[in-house]
Formats: sequence, C-alpha cells, structure tokens
Amino acid sequence: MTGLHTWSGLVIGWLLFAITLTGTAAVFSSEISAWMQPEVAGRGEPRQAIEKAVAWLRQTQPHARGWFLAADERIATVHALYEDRTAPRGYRTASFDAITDTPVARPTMGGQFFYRFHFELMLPNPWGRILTSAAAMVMLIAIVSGIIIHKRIFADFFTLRPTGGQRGWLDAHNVFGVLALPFHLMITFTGIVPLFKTTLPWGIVANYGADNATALAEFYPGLPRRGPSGTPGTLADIGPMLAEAERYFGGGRIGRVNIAAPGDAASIVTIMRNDGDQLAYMAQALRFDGMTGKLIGAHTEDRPARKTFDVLYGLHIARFAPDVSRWLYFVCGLALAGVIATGLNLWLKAREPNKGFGHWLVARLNVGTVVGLPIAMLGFLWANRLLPATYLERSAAEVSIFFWIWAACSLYALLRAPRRAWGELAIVAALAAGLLPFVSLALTGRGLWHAMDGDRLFLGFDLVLFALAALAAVIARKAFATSGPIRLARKQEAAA
Amino acid sequence: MTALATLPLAFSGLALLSLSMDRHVRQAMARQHQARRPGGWALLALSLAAALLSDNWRFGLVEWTGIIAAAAALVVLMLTYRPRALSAAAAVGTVLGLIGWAYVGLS
Repeated sequence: MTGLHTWSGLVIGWLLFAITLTGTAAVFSSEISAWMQPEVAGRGEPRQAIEKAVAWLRQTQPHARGWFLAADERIATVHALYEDRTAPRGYRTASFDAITDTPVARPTMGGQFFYRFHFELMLPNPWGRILTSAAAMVMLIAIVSGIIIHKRIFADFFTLRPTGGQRGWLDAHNVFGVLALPFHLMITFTGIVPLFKTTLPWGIVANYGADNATALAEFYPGLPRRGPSGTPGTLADIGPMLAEAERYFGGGRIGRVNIAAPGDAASIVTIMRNDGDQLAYMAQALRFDGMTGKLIGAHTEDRPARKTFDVLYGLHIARFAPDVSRWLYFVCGLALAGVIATGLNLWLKAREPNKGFGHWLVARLNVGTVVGLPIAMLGFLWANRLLPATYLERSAAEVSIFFWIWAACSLYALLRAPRRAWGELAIVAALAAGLLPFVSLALTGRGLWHAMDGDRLFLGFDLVLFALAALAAVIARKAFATSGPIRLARKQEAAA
Repeated sequence: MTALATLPLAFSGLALLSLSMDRHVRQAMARQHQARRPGGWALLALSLAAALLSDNWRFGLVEWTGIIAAAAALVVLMLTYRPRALSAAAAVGTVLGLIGWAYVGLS
C-alpha cells in the first residue's frame, strides 16, 4: 500500500501539481479576466451589457454562425465569442459592460486560460481531457492509499514539527493532506465526474450508438434543436426576451445567451440561468424564436440523475461560491498543491543520499514544476501588461509566453544544482509577483492605491501578489540557508 | 458572513480538542482537563449549527467543510509557533464566535 501511494503520487505528481495550481487560480478566473482587461470596468447592469454586446454583434458580425455571450458571475461584464475564420483558433472574443458601445478591451484569454489549462492542458482534444481524467483517477488512488497508510491520523492530527528533515516534510505533507481531506476527496471525485463523456463513453454508445445529436439533445434539453433555414432573417429585439427570462428565473440572474444563426430566419436565442445562483450547473434554460422573439421552449432541470451530475459538477467549478467559500476553495486548493509538492520532495528526502539517475531527475523536475510553473503563470500576467494592447494576436501570444517561460525554467532547473535552482528561481518568482502591481499601476493607472475609490478588484489582486512574493521570498531564504557556502563551512568546522 | 460565527467557534472547538491530547497539553504547558474533549465537540457542533442555520444551508454546509480546514490549520500553526497562547485564544474565539453569531443573526 505504501508502494502504491509513493509511486502513484510520483508518476503523476508534476502533472497534478500543474492541474491543481491552475485550477486554484481558476477559482478567481472572473477576477483574473477583469484584471487582464483593465479597459472594461464592469460598470452598470449585466443585462445592459448583454444588450450592448448584441447591438455591436448585429452591426459587425451579422453572418456569423453563432454568437455566444457569457455574463460573468461576479463582475458586470459580458464576454462575447463569435466565429472568425481569420483568427488562429477560428473564433474571437470581445468584452462589454453597460457603457461599452465598441469593445476596446485588449483581447486575452484572461482567467479562462487557467480554467482551460486545468482540464485540457492546451493539448488537442481529446488528449488533454483524457490525460487530466487519468491524473485525477490516479490522484484518487493516491489519496485513498494515503489515508490507509497513515496510521496515526487522529494522534498526529495537529502535529507539525518543522525540523527541516524528513520528519518535518512528512508532518507538513500530512497536515496539508489531513486538515483539508474532505476538500481533497470532494475536488478529486467531482473532477473526474464532468469528464465522464471522455473517460466512460460506453453508456452513451450503448444507448445512442453513433447518434451523438440525440444524446446531446437529451442531455441538454434546453439547447436548440433546429438548424439554419438558409433564408435571411432579422433578429428581434433582445431586451424583451431578457426580461421574460428574468421573470421565469424568479429573481435569478441571466448567465449565458447563445444566439444560433443570428442572420437567419430560423435563428434561436437560448437564455440560460446564471451558474452563480445555485449549486447545480446549468439549472434552467429558455428558448426563443429569434425572428419573432416568442418563447418556444423552457426547461428546468429536475431529472434526478442529471441534477446529481449538475450538483457534483457545480461543486467542482464553484461558480455558486460566495466570497468566503471562494477564498476557502482557493486556500484548500493551495493546500492540495502543498500536499503534492511536499510529497514530491519527500520521495527525495526518503532516498538521500542518492546519486542515481532517478533521484537526479526527480530533484530537477521538482524545481522546474513547483517553482517554474508559478513563474510561468506570473509571466502570463506580465505578458498581458507588456504586450501592446492593439496587437491583434496578443491572446495567443500570452499563452505562448507562458509555455516558453515554463520551458526556460525547467531547462534552467535541469542544468543547475537543485538546491541552488530552488533559491534562485524562488527569487525570480518573488520579484515577478512583487513588482507586477507597480508595473501594472504604471501601465494601466489602476492599482492598490485606488482602493479608496472602490476599486476593490485591484486591491485584492495586488494583496495576493504581495503575499505570493513574500511566500516565494521565504522559500528562497530557506533554500539558500540549507545550500549556501555558510553551511558547508560549518560542516567543515564540525569535521575538523 | 456566517464565517464570523463558524470560523471562531470551529477554531475554539478544535483548539480544545487538541488540548485534550497529552502531547499538545505538554506543548502548550497547560494542565489536563477532562471537560476539554466534550467542550471541543460541543463548540464544533455549535459551529456546524451556525452554518446550517444560515440563509442557505446547502451553501453553508459546503463552506463549513472549508472553514474547519482553515480553523484546524490555525490551531496547528499556533501549536507550532505560539503554543502557550492557545488556551487563551480558544476562550477569545468562543466569545468572538458568539458575538459574531449574534451579529450575523441580527443583520
């Protein structure tokens, strides 16, 4: 059982660390998106923002196959996605708030990058999803086997002996793991569930065969079922449809608005309830005929199996979470990253001194991932501030910069003695996090110093960056304290 | 803001539970007391009650599972770095939790 825990943890440890850390950042994906688009401040009502977005799309993208609008759960901003064959990925996005007539915000994936990376790893479909599902399943094995081999869960529940040796690392691993164990089990299990169509497709195949369309229609009864007619048409005013949807949701907010074939006589407007309103994901949806604006279908999800799935999914993506819960998701996510990082380090500690190739490689991969990934994530934010706002392909460039920085850090970690690399890269991380608020303030004019005027978003963001900088500085100090020439000198003195 | 009630109460409850264990009693240089264990469980139950009696018990329950993790982390950090202050902190936490509950309940 110990072997199972050790080896299942090691093999997927680095991948899991990346999945966990980006997922933890994605808890605040709304805030990250808003920070990365300082031009839209989220002013006014989300409904007005939807109307602004539709008005603009009507003007500029009348022949797109579809417009997909998502109202943010927490910030009064609407992100519109529309097909554009000239774009590298085949679509573009534009962001609106209630006073945006023409989208001026810089194009960026924003917090959606961390969200997407978390389960797709930016690999072509379906490989990213298969890999993350497999990693989550192995993590569930690691967690359960970890509980079984931990013989003193209750006796050691509150025990942390920060000795610096293997004992201290094991205590830290246990504390991070045991204290937030309900969260770790919940997030791992609910992380496997949403990807069931990729990992366990046989239920669907047995019942529907190759008829994917029927399967989808029955899984999502709220979605439109007719294609474009080919005859041009004019979309009715969106305002009354939004008002009717709000009445139907009974005080609930509007979440997403999908407009299929907007320039066609058979266009359909689907309005979905905001996921921030309830635990379950996608609870209610209304369909309107695009030409007449008449309601043609309403769906409230109450089938037990679907509802169970939606609640599990909802628990994982935490769109429902009010402020305190959201911070707890964030902190528990960091604890899970801590379990993985300390676990990877323990593998080394338990095998020291060791000159083997495996030990050599694990030590270096640990540095490249545990410090390299956070630097790359910060680099993504830096790229957002430093790339010219008017550069059309900047969204893709930000993502490339993330991967180049991660690759550079991993290469550096391979070439350098691990103890040195730990300290040096931690200093880079501390500087990257600590200086970003100042650079951002200089370039955007929004920052910590404007909190008095009610700009709470930047206040929170900058404080988190400063906290991360402090954490990285502490890690750097510890790393240098155990690897520096001073300690070697002391050892020689002791020997003499 | 149910957390104003649930977090201090959970902290105090877990602090009392830790101080019912010999190893941590020695760390905190306190004296062993028989009432600590039932008292700790009672405070934890009170914390859970505050979570379930909030406006939306479903959200409350999810939040509470995170709250006890955060509270336990605070207890561990105090036991490691400020062990002697833990029993006093548990008393303060109980009072703050009850005030917090009254505040949340009234507003």
